[in-house]
Amino acid sequence: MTDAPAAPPAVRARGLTKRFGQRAAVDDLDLDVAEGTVYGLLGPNGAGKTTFMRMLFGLVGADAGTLEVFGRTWAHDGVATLAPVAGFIESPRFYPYLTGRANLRLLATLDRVDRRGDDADARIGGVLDTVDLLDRADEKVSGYSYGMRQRLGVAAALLREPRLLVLDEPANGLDPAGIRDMRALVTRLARSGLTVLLSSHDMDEVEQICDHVTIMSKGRVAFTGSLHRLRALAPAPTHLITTSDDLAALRVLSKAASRLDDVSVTTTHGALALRGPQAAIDRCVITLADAGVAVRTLVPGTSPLEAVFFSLTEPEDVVPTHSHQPEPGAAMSTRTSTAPKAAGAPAAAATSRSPR
Amino acid sequence: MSAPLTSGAAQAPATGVLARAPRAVPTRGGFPAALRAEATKLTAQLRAKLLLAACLVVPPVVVAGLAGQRPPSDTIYGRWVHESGYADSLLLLGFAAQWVLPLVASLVAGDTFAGEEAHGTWKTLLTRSVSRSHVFWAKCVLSAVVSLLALLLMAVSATVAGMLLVGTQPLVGLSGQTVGSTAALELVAASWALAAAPLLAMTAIALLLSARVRNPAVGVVGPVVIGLLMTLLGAVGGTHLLRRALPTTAFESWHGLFAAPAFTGPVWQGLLTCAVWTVVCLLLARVHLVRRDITGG
Amino acid sequence: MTMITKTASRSTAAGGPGTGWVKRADKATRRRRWQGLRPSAGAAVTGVIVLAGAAVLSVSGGQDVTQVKVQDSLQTSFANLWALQQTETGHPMRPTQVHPAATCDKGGPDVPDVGPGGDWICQMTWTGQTEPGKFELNVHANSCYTASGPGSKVGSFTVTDTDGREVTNPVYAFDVCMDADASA
Repeated sequence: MTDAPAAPPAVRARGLTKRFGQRAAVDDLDLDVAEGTVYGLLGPNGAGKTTFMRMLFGLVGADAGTLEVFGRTWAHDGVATLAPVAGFIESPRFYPYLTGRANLRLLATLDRVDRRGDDADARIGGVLDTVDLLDRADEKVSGYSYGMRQRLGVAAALLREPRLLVLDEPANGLDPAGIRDMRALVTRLARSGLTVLLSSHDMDEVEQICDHVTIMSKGRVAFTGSLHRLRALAPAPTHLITTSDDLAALRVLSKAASRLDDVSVTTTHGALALRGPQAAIDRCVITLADAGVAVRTLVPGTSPLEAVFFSLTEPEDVVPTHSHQPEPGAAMSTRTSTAPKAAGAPAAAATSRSPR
Repeated sequence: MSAPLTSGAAQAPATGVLARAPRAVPTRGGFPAALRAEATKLTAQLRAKLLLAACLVVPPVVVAGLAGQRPPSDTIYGRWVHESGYADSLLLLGFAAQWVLPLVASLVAGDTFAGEEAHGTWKTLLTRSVSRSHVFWAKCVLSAVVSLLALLLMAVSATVAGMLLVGTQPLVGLSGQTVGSTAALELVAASWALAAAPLLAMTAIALLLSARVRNPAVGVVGPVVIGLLMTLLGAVGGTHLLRRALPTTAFESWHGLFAAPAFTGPVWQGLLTCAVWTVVCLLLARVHLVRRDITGG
Repeated sequence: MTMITKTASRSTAAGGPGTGWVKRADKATRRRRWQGLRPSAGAAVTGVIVLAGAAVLSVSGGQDVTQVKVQDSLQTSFANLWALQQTETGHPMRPTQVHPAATCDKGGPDVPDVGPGGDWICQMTWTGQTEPGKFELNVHANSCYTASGPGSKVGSFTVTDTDGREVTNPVYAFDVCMDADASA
């Protein structure tokens, strides 16, 4: 993604490298975040997302390469690099002995909000209202819940009126309602024209709020492009079915292969995995029913985007790629949540038992 | 997060907060801003207030306690505490120099960097619009101010307590001469003032420890232990110049003022030694803080 | 803004013009090498340097405490304090009238008479005391000492002043500080 030379991208990294001891946390990273996008930085834990964001904030120095923020670099512009940037890394932290409002006032002092001709207290009230913390603002942060601190973190970032909002795993540690609210907030902020750089290890989250995504793996870029392009890479969705008689079902489906040529069928221990478009899966179910084989469960397997994610970030032999027998159990160890994994668990157990 | 974020936004349109054009953050004024922020944190905590209150309250209690007892003879001026209030002040100075003043130096300074580590707030502090250098100097200046303020309170409290509870009688000098009341008061004030130099050196040591070790307990207790070890090392015979290279030696440089004729060699040596310790420790701490990667929190 | 490749940054001792990142990268590389030594080797090197410096300092410089300094300071101080005691007890006297004469020795004839220690003994005579009185001195490393006078000649812990009050006897035991930097 390139931009007109007049407007530098919000973030541009070239050959960015950071090593901790022998391990390269960020390894020759090239990355561009165009202004106005909601940019998702995706990767498993340890992929280098957080280290990259720390470098963006100047908390961690680069060993090599360049990192520009709206055309500024830390080496050249120092802390002014941060002027248009706000956000938080991992969970936001505050001074526990100060109230939420006093914490924001402290940060407003550091930002010299008053000297910009603003009424700091009014601004603080505004951002506290935005994250719905006004009624708890005068309690000490030590009494805040995790979610409240997360929201205070967003408020602290908004206080800076940033052009680029950097959020590291903003939904981490939140309950489902909190996750929903956080996503709604990010979406709303993005609509106001803010550039958002968001890291996540959850494909769902990125799919819901981002329009551009970079997948990192072992400190490198495994994929970068629009969500649209990522979807194009995705295999057809997989569904796992269990039937009254799996062997019979397999026979029936093989016989009907001519009518079901857009479906691939593989056996896994205790289930059949069907990969193909939704309409074709429907035809499979009808065919089985017609042949007297009852379908007992039908659950979605790995989502297509998740499948791409795993294929990009995991060693080849573990990847559930199409035309091979899917191994949900193998993918289990690194996957996050939701039903299909539970369906894979017995299969995994069966796999590990069978050689004995 | 159970309360919906969206409801708050519906009431107060986010556009009010967000839609304004971003403004340039001022590049100047970073140090005063950092200083104000550090002062806010310090005044919100009990630590500094307790320290200053103790410096004010403890000396009169000790002076009053000495009044009813056989004078302590193992510390200089101990045997004169019933004869002149100035001796009480000097006895307290001599006693405080052993571990109280190092503790005064480290109580705030030893926590100032390590506390950010413990609270995980380095990233909060350093992702605003002040440079690491500004934050560093703000913390140093504030620690020094607290140390000096504590010393001033302790000096005034001890001297006034001695003058009120024991009296303003002339003092016997360290060459046996008699020092008049006015002259004694001046010398006592000068003696406490001279303690500022080693106190600042110990503060710098505490700042360095706090920045390097990143543990508030070590930052606070470390300088006290170091101060005791240095005092001990200085008390061992045959250490020659090494004794003069220790900042704690300067805590005793006032002795020369009470001799006749007075000698000020130790005063100048102490000031120089303490200046070197202070500058070296601060530079080491600054280099460390500016270069280090903030990975915690 | 400068863009450099990784190889450039590693071999850039020559230095690209105005490349802040290059400098930073090189510093980082050096730092990493130094950090590679820590904690064991790095701390050991620092420790050795500090200890060596301390050792050099501890054998440098002259003696702070000498026999002449101890004798002179004892005589001066005693003259002042004896005059004070005599005046307090109703026998007004000036220090110049005391005429003390002290001979000091540290630890007997086999020990050099220099340096701090609790084994300094001074024999002193003064006006009205032709038989030497034995003063025991505990000399500290800071060139101050505590002298304890012979009770039979200087009196006990307290004396009675002209008003009949018990006051601290200034010569029973007294603290003296010498100038460590003075010659002799």
